[in-house]
Amino acid sequence: MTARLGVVIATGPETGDLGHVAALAHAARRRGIPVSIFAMHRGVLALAAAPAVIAALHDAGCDLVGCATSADAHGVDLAVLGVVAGSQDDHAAFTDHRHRVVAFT
Amino acid sequence: MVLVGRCDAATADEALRGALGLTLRGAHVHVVLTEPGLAFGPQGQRATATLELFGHRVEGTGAPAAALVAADVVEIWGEVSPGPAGPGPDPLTHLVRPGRAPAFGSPGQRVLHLEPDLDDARADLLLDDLLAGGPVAVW
Repeated sequence: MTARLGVVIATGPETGDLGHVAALAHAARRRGIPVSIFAMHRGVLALAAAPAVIAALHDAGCDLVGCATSADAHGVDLAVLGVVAGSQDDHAAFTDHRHRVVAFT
Repeated sequence: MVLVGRCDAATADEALRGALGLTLRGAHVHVVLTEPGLAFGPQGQRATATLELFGHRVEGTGAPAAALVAADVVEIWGEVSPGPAGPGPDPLTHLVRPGRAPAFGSPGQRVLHLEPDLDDARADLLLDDLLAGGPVAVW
């Protein structure tokens, strides 16, 4: 049933959620399952605090999109991280009910 | 399905903005504000008004466990206080962060626990369980 793993992260680096996101994303990629990760709110700060984690997710073929509004609000430069600046439309796309969605919000 | 529990106003605003975002590709969204008197700002108020204008439900302390039964996708923002179990059984899977617990559940629901450090083998098993179950609620 699951065509894709969709992940939302909206929590900051202090929670440790990004580590769990990355572990699940890599597990999915080992099985050949596409992974899309959308970061908003303090999730963009979690991305900014872990550039090596982001690079590894890119290397594994995960799609990473950060909410541009959240990035502006928190002063995060998504381009430096290699993360696509997106919008709530990406949030909607990544949480399509046909995907298995895991939201760390 | 978006549950908004105890959180600061900025997070509540983002939860509601995100709920509005979820509708952009045609999803129907049901928002439950689980904490009485939850404060949010103008952004949250605008998002709430827009959601309601387009026929989405935004309600105060209702019966979130019962509402989860019908959910395809679940976002839980903030800390949700424990409540009564839902009608169950249903296919919801609870994914529980270290040191946390589901605020409610129903008989037969799957409960998976995240370890602080998730190695590859454990992550593979966890993913299998997540894929085998139904919609996921992260606590």
